[in-house]
Amino acid sequence: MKIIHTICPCCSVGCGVDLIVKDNKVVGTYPYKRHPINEGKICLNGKNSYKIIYHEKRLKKPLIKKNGEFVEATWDEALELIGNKLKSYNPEDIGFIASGKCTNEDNYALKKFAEALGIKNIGHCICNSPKVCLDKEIASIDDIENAEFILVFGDVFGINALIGRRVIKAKERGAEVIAVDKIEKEIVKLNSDEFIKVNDFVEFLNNPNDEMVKKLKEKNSIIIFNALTKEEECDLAYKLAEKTNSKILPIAKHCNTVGATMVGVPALNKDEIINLIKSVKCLYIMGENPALIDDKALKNVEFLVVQDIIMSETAELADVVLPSACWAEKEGTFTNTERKTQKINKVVNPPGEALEDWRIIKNLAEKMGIDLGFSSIEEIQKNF
Amino acid sequence: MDKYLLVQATDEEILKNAECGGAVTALFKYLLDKKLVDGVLALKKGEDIYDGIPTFITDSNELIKTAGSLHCAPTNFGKLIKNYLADKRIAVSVKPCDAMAIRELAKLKQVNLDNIYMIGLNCGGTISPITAMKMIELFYEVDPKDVVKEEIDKGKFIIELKNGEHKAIKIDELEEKGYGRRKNCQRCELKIPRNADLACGNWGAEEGWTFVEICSEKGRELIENAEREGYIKIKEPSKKNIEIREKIEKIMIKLAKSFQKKHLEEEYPSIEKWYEYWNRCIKCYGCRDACPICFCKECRLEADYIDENGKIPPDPIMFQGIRLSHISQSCINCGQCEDACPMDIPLSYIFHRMQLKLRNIYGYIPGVDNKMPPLFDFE
Ligand SMILES: Cc1cc2nc3c(=O)[nH]c(=O)nc-3n(C[C@H](O)[C@H](O)[C@H](O)COP(=O)(O)OP(=O)(O)OC[C@H]3O[C@@H](n4cnc5c(N)ncnc54)[C@H](O)[C@@H]3O)c2cc1C
Ligand code: SF4
Ligand code: SF4
Ligand code: SF4
Ligand code: SF4
Repeated sequence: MKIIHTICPCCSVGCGVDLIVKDNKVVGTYPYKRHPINEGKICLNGKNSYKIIYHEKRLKKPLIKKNGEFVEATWDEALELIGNKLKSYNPEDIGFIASGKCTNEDNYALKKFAEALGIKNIGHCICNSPKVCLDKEIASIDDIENAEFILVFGDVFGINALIGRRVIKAKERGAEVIAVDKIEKEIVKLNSDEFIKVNDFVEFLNNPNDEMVKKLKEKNSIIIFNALTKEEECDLAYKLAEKTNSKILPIAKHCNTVGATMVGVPALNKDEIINLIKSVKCLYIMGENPALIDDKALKNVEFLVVQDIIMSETAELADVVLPSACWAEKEGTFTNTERKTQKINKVVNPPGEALEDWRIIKNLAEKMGIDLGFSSIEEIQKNF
Repeated sequence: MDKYLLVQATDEEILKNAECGGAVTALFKYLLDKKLVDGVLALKKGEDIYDGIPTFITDSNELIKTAGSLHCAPTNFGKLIKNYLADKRIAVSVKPCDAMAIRELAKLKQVNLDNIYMIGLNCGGTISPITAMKMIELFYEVDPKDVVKEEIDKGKFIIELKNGEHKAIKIDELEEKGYGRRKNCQRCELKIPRNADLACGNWGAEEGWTFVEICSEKGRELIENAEREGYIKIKEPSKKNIEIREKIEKIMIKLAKSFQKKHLEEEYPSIEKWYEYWNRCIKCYGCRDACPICFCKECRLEADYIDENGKIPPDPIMFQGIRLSHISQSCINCGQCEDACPMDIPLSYIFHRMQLKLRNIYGYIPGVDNKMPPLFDFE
């Protein structure tokens, strides 16, 4: 039995979690009490995070679709095929989708590869979540606890529980909490001093009531949101914070959504991702599952490559599927919603022939005669 | 051989790295070298002194990594043994609450005491790592990362810095301000783990020696054999030192009782406050999973009629009520539930308070008494 520190892969808060390994298998989680973000406390998602390692649909070998059926292939065959296909399209007709669920190193590798091929259609999927403005200053998670007035858009108790905890801690010290959302949730209503149900965040943000603005201005206040997803909504929230001198903390979607953006892969929301898919003939997806939002657009892609840990709905549609290592099976870093970069640890070996995402990309580039300038995690880290 | 001994490791390396006389590590080494156990469960220092990671060691050369006390590592070994090491012969370093958990689990046939050497550590309490770091920054005004060692002595929490400097502040003062030991540790009245095979500590010890109280036949044999094989040296403690140890123990127990009164009576949350607490519950099952004595194979909390399709917060009568009815008779006040709760609900207040009430009726002390918990006692 062995206990190893790592970071929870289930949301952008970046809680620390320990994995328990027995006979080379992860068998559970253990409290990582030394971790400054969560002190060993985790939500249900964090607790179940390790289960993905043994998901019944884990991919173990490269697969090539022949006559509508997947056939196992060697890495050589699969990369050869993909390399030739990529060469056969114009760069404008190729798209790359990266992922906030993959590490900084994985995203960097895909970005580098896109640059080498002259591909401009690249982005990572943030689905319906706040788009992070890198040029704006943001608050830290610790700041929440010290606030006197907290304005929350969305449900941080159910969705980002360890942010919810900080709101509660502030409340225990006497802070006032106003929650605003389109959906009424019991847990949010019960844990805020006031709950405001709105139909439209823009409307609310355009006419914030005077009393609230006064409090934001006069008190040590913070605006937190995971429910503001449209650019306009986010902009208005930032403006409100500026106007009232409040701190602000957007809560991004995945464990490394912020990191992927900082590495230089554009963050694309749902519509933008669909547009990207529609605008290309050849598409390479790393760790994302856009079939959940639009499988029609994907079906129109001529050549689709999906590199993932499981046979996802998107992978089902692919011409070639490449098996990748999940977070517990590789080294690398995640950057959380407060832009803190944290190391994850390799705890077990990947199944079958699965490889780390960055390594797959490096191998594919090599096959095409391209040198991406790195051959290890450390070499990638030197570059960003 | 007397019940009280001073023990010292013969291995220089162990003695250098150990907290006191290295008795614990030397005994572990003896047990591993002589293949009397398959492995040793202890704590190793991770990133720094605030990071205690449970480690199962099978090669005695690696034991040195586990020597020394970590006061900012509020772990409990009970559940780890039950879940992952029940089939092994082990030796384990146990604070009183670890020993209590193991004993309760043994009664419920979850672990087998014949397979376990419990080497006890006296315990004045543990401090949560992040609390400790904040406290050191705030009250000691130093960078917590510059601290290379910490100890609790004569009611003070003492830190030693990289440059050799020492700083000490009274625990009372720190606890008044909401820092210091975990709340459940403040209330904990088992300071010397006589429920283990041996109870080791610094109370009453001389510099470079561990004070050991023999608590079982198994413990006595272990000491005798380890001495015979040259792993430890033994000498007699002075009468005065035995008395000092007794005196400190008494003071600590008295202090714990006064904290029980404070937390569980004077400051006990009102029923309204409890509802406020339950309203935060996100039903993460963290409290259940961390509780070393929660053991049902098919937990009732996950039954459909109680899970209510994942509705949060759950109905406290159903959710917390079931746990309270299953656990409170055996609650050992280890604080693991409270530590795990992402919503900072002071869970062990309610469980400890209920246990003490049941203790008044049935006289049952979990983790210490050898009989079954009262509600399982068919005699
Ligand atoms: C939290 C804590 C509080 C203590 N408070 C007191 C006290 O008030 N009075 C007193 O007389 N003695 C106390 N002790 C015991 C004392 O510090 C020594 O551990 C004991 O004297 C044994 O010394 P040693 O040199 O023989 O042990 P060592 O040879 O140094 O071995 C110590 C063993 O304890 C294990 N260990 C370290 N930290 C923990 C932990 N948190 N939980 C479980 N195992 C751990 C180590 O991995 C190692 O195996 C405390 C110990 C701890 C861990
Ligand atoms: S809050 Fe987010 S990061 Fe923390 S445990 Fe839950 S899912 Fe994981
Ligand atoms: S509960 Fe008691 S034995 Fe356990 S760590 Fe706290 S003071 Fe020590
Ligand atoms: S209820 Fe809490 S304090 Fe009591 S034994 Fe379980 S985890 Fe420990
Ligand atoms: S740990 Fe806290 S939040 Fe989680 S189920 Fe228990 S009481 Fe509820």
